[in-house]
Amino acid sequence: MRKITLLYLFLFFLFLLYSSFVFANWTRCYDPNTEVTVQGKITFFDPYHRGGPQRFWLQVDDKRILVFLAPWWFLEKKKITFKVGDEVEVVGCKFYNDAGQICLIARKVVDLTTQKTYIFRHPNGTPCWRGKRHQRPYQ
Amino acid sequence: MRPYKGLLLFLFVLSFFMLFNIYRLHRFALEAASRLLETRGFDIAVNLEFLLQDKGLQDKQLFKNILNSLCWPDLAYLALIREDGSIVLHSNPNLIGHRLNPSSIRDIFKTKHPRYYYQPLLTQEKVFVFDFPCHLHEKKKIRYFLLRVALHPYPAFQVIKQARLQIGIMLFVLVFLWALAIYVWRLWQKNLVLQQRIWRQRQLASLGEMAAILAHEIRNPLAKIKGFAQLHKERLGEAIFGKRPLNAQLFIDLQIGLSTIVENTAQLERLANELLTFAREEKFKEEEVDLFSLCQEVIEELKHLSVWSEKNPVLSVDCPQPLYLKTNREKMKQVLINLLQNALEAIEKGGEIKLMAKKERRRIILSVCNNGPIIPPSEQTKIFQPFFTTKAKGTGLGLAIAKKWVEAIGGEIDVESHPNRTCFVMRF
Repeated sequence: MRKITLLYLFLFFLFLLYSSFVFANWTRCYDPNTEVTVQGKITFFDPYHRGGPQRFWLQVDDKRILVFLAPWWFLEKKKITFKVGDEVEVVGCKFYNDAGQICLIARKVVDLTTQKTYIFRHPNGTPCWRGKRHQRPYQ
Repeated sequence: MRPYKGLLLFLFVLSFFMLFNIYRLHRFALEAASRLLETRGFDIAVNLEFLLQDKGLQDKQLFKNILNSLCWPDLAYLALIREDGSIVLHSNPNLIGHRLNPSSIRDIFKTKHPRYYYQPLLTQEKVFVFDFPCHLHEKKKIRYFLLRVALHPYPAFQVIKQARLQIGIMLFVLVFLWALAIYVWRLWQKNLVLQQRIWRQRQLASLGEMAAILAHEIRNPLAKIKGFAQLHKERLGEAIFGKRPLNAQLFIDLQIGLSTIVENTAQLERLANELLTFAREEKFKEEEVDLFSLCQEVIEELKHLSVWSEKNPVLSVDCPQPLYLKTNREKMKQVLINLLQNALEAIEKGGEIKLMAKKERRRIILSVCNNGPIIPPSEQTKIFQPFFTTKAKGTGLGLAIAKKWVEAIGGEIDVESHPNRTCFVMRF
């Protein structure tokens, strides 16, 4: 009985650890200071990804960049989808995650193959899926 | 010092050195990362200053293009700021024209010295900011600007990460060593308790064995004494009441009976004395003893024993003159008498006994050999045990006392038995 309780506690600890990693990227906010524009090819995109924000891997020259987009339901609502191999231009703020990977929080993605532009955040960085009352001025 | 105290001391010293090294390693890593970022920030700032002096401030996309090229992936952002806090150039052109709080940058313009610090961003990342004062041409005038170079610290922090990994390994090893030491200590404690229990059981067993032997040794002479005493009491009673004639034969029988009683009483007395000698804890006074003169003295004493005249042995002494040994003279003499008496009792009539003493390297070796019967290997291990005897009238304490005294003097005694030759060898 005691062993089973300990096992449950261990599993709960693992879940907390996992969720802290997953939601770490949710709690990050957009900082316009580090905004960049990069152009590259999508190497990985999982449209059914549900744990955390939707993302894809972008190959820019010799660098791989992880691009965070928006919640999955926002992409579904706006009928936004990407395919591996799509040429895209991403405008977003750059940061390094805990694993040492270069990441972008996308504000705008332009699909260069279809010439479609997808806006995920307002120019001040507030998310488009949140509504106008959550918008904040530049800091 | 007990072994676990030594182990504990060793662990404490090791832990101290390891913790000291961990502290030093961590400090070194922090310093190295900080220096790396400073140098990087300075390099980029100087390069940009030259570029701005060359190209001027008209190109609003200059910083953006630098950042977008990702040639410096660790670059977080770039900004050129006027003294009033307004942003002239920025890697995000949308921020050009925005104004910073002038008080935050005033002292840089005052001191004209670069400044570095960590700035938290909204991305929850702390970037390393290098504020570099530089003078540039603006509208044909030389003005002071603040060039801000912000760097992602992650690549530089790899040094700290590696150091932390090393520290983790070192701490793990330290904890493992402590756990191992505690485990060994507990095992040692258990072993100690077990040893004590075994020792107590052995003591009890040997005590029981000794009591049985002792009872046997006492009962035999006592039975004889009792038997003869009862027999002569009855005979004397019969003589007094006229049932037996009071003649010379009765007195002769009485004399024989009383002699047996005295002889057995003497044996009991000797047993009691030897037992006391064996049991007594004594402290010996040591002195320089000439072994040659001691051997001569022992032989002279031995010649007065009845067993000497019975066996009439061929005795040879091989001892250099003089040969000194630091020991207790009386005890050494008694040991030699015991061994020689033992040899005398073992040999046939006219047998050989050899007493040898020699110095070999730094040790003195004394041996008493005889050509008596061989001692079987099974008996060789028991020969020094108390009450072990193969003789009818022996107490079995002579050799046990000899071993005890030899060890008390600081030597060791062994028996070597071959056909026609049995030797008791003492090494000091």
